[in-house]
Amino acid sequence: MKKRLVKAIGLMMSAVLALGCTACGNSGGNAAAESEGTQEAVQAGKEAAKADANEAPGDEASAEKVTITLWSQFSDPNSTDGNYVAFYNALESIKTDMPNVEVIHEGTESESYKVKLKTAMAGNELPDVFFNWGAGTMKPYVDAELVLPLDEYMTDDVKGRILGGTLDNFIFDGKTYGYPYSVAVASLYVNTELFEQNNVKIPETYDELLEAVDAFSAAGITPISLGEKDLWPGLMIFGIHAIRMAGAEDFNAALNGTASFNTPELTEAARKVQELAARGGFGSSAMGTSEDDAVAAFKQGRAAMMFMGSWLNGDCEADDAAVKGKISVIKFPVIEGGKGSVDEFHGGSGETFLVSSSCEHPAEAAAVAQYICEKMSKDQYLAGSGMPAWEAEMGDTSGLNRLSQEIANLTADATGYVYWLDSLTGGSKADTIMNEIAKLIDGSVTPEDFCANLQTINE
Amino acid sequence: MQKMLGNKKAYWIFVIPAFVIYLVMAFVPIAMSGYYSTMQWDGIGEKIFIGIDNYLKLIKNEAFLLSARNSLILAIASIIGQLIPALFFALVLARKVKGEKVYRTIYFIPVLLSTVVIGQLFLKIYNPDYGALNALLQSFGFQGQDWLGDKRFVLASSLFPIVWQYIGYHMLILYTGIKSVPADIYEAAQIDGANERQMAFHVTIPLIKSTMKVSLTFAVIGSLKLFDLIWVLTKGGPLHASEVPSTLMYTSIFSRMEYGMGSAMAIFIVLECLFFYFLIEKCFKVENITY
Amino acid sequence: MKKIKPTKVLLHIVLAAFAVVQIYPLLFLLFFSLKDNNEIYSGNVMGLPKEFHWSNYQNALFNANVGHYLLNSIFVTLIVIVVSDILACMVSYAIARMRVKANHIIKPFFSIGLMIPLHAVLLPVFIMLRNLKMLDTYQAIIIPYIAFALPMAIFFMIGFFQVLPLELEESAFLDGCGIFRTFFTIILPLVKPALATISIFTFLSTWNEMMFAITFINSEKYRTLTVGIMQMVGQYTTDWGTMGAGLVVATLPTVVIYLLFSNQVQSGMVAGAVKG
Repeated sequence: MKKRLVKAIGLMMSAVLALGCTACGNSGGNAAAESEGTQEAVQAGKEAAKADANEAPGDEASAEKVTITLWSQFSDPNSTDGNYVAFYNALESIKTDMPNVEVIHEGTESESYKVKLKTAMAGNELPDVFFNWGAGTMKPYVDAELVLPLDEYMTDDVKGRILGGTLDNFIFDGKTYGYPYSVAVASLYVNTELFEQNNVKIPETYDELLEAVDAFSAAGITPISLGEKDLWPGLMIFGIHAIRMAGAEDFNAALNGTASFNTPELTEAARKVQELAARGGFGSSAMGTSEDDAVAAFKQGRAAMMFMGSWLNGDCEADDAAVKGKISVIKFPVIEGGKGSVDEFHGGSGETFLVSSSCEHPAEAAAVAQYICEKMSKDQYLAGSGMPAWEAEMGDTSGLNRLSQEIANLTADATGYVYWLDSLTGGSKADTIMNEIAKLIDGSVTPEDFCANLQTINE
Repeated sequence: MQKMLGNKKAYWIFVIPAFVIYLVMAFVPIAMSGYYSTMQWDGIGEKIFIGIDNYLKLIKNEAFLLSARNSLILAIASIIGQLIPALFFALVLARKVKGEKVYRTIYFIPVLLSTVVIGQLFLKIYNPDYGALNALLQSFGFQGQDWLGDKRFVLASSLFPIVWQYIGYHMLILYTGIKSVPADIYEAAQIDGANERQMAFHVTIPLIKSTMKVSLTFAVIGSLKLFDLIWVLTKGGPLHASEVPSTLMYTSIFSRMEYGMGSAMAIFIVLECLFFYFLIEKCFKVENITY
Repeated sequence: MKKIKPTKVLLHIVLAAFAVVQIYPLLFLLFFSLKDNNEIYSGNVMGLPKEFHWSNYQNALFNANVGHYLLNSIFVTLIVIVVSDILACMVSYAIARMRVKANHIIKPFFSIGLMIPLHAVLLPVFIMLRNLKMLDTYQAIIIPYIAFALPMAIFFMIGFFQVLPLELEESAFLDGCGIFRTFFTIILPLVKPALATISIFTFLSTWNEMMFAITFINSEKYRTLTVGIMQMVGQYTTDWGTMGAGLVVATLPTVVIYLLFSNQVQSGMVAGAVKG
C-alpha cells in the first residue's frame, strides 16, 4: 500500500515536472520552436474567430476578416495625454479605414506592461502587434528573432512619407523593424513669470544658468524641478550635459560601445552635473522627489525650470495649470569649452509598434502597425505631445499646443540627436547608468569614478 | 481510534486535491526558478548553464547584502513593532471591553486598504515640500527632512508604515486564537481569583502559543519577502539604501533582464525563509495541548 | 457597585487614540477621492478637500467598465475562498489529527508556499497555464490564487485543529460516524472562527492581487476590479483624484466582507461547545 502510494506520487511529480520542463526547452528563443500545441490553440482560436465573422449576416467584407491582437501601454481611453488621445483616435478610425481586420486591443498601465510583455515573450505568447521602445531595449528581441523585419512592407512610397532619421532606432543589421510615430525632444522649460518677478535673465549661456540657479535658490524657489526618485529624469540631466560637453556624435559613440566614457569631456560633464546638484540646482530634496511631484511643483509655479521631454507640453498648457501661458521653452545653453553645439538635442524617435514573428497574418499586422503609427504621428503632434515623424498635411493648426509649436521652431535646424539613455542602452546597462547618475547627483561618486563605472557597460 | 485517525486512504483523500493544485501552480514553478537560477539567461534568448555562478556573484554583490540586512532589520522590527501591540490589543479586546466590536473593526482598517492607498498616504506624509511630517516639525521650529530621499532616514521612514499597517492583521490572528479558547477555562480561572494581568500571562498566553507561533512565522516570512509597500514608497532607493531582496529581484528580472540572477535571489529568499521557519518550529515546539 | 479604576480610564484612552490613528487612512482615501491633482500635490493633501470634486466618481464609475469588473472580482474571489477554505481544512485536519508518517513531509512541503516570492514564479506559472491551455480564462487566475492561498490557510488552521479534544472523534466514531462525516459535521463547525479569519485573509489577497491578473488575462471580459482601476495610471500623468474614487469603490466591498466575517470570529465559539 505504502510503496504504491509513494510510486504514484513520484509518477505524478515527474508528470508535473515534465509539464513545466517542456516549456523550458522551448523558450530557447527561436520563434519556430513554439510548441505545437500552442500554435494549434492559436490556430483554433483564429479559426473560431473567422467562423464567428462568417456567421455575421449581411456583411460581405467580413467573410475574410482577420483578427489582429494588439498590446500597448495606452491603458486609459479617457486619458488626456497626447499620445493616448492619438492612439485611441487611430484605434477608432482603423475600424472604418481597414474593414478587413478586426483589431483587439489590450492596454496595460506602463509599469505592469513591461512585466506582462516580458513574461509573454519568455513564454512565447506574444500578441501580433505590440508597443515597444527601440534601440537597446529592442535589440534582444531582434537577436532572438521574436520580431518581424518590415522591409518588404515598407514601399518607397511609405518610406518617402517618413521623416529622415526617425527610423534609426528601429534598424538592426540593415533591417527595419518598426515605424516611427513621434519625435520627442527634451528642452528647458522656463517659467517666465518667476524669471520676471525675481529679475533673473532667461539663460543663454551656462554661466547665466548657474546665476539663475543661485538667484532662485536665494529666493527659496526650486531652480530646476527634478524627480530623481524615479531615476530616469536624472538621465536627461546628465544626457544634455554630456551632449553639450562631448557633442552628440562622440557621446553616441560611447553609448553604443565604439568609444570610451573615460574622456575629459564626459568627466567634465559629470563634474558639471554634480556641481549643479551641490549648488542646489535641483532644490534640497531631488532624491526623494518623484516625477509626479516634480511636474506638479513646476505646474503649480513652485519651481522655475524643468528639463523634460515634450510630453510636458500638455501639462503646462492644461486648464488646471497655474502656469498656463507663462511657460516658454528654450534650448539648453551651451557649455563653454564643450564640443557640442546648441543645435544638438536630447531625444528623438524611439517608440513604435512591433510585429511578432510568430504572427499568423504578417501582412495585415504590418499594415495595422503602419496605420497606427502614421495616424498617431499627426494626432499626437496636434494634441501637444511630440513632433510628427511622418509628412502630413496638418490642416488647421490654430488649436495646436503653443509649446509644441515653439519646440518645432527650436528643432528646425537640429544637427544631431542622442536618444534617451535608458531606451538606447536597455536592460542591465540602462539600470547601471541610472544608478550611477543617482550616485553622481547625490554626491557619492567622483566624476572620474563615475565615468569608469559607466565604462563597465562597454566591457 | 487508531484505525480511524491512522487511515492512510482517508488521509490521502484529504490531502490530494490541495496537493495537486499546489504542486502544479506553486511548488513546480519555484522548482523551475531553481533551475533558471543555474543559468545565465535574459528571459528571451539562449540559456547558458553556469552552475552556481549566480549565487557566487550574489554573495559578493554589495547591494544584495545590504538588502538582506535590511530585510532582517525589518523582521526584527516587525516582531517588536507588530506582535507586541497586536497581542496587547487582542488580549484587551477579547476580554469583553466596552466597544469591542467597534475597536476590532477600526483596528483592521489599514489592512483592508490596498498598498496603493497606504503608499500614497505615506508619500504625502513624508513629502519634503508639503508633507505633514515636515509641516509638524517646522511648526515646532525644527528643520524638515527629505525622509524618503536621504540615505540616513529612508530605511526607518519606509519600515515604519510597513510595520504599522499589519498590526491589525496580527491582532485578528491572535484575537481569533483567544476566542477559540473555551470560555469555561476563563471562568474557572476567574473563580480562583486571578486578576486580568495574571489571567493574560498565566492562562491566555500559554493557551494560544500555537496561534502566536503562526503570527510570528507570518511576520518573519512576510518581512523577508516584502515587496509591495517598499516599491511604492522608494523603489529600493535612494542608492539602494532601502533595497530588500524582493525589490532587487524584481529589478533583476524585469529591468536588467537578468532572469537567472533574479531567480537565484528568489531561491535565496526561500532558503532564508525556510531557515527561520524551522528555527521557529524548533523554538516553539508546541506540546499538543488540548483543552 | 464597581468603582471606576484609573487604569481602566487609561486603557480606554489608549484604545480610542489608536482607533483614531487606524481610521484615519480611510478618511484620507475619502478626502483624496474628492480632490483634484492640484490639491493632491500641494499642502492640503491630508485634510478635507477645499472643493468637492464629485465628478471624480462620475469619471471612475462611468468611463471605465467598473460594473463588469466588479462582478468578475466577486465571482473569482468567491470561488477562491470557498475552494481554498474546504481544501485547506481537509489538509490541515489530516496534518493536525491523523497519525500518518507522511505528515513530517507534507507540512513543510505546503509551508514552502508561504515563502515563494511571486514575481519570481510569474513566468513559470505562466508556462504551466500555457501548457494547460488555460491562459486568458477565469481559471488562469482562480487556480493560482487557490494554490497560493492554501499554504497560508493550512498553516493557520493546523493549530486550531490541534487543540480540539480527542473525545470529539472518539464519541463520533463510537456512534458509528465515518471519518469524513465526523470531519464535516462535527469538527468543521467548531473551527468556524478560524475559518472566518482565514477567509478574510484569502479575500484580501485575492481581491487586491494585480500582477497575476494583468499577466494571465488579456481579454477585458475577465478583467478584475483592481486591475481595471490601476489602468488609470498614465505613462507620464495620472489623474489621482479619479483613481482615488476608483479605489474607494474597490475598498467598500472589503469593508463589508470584513464586517460580515469578523462577526463570525467573535460569535463562533460558544462556551462549552467543545466539550460536545
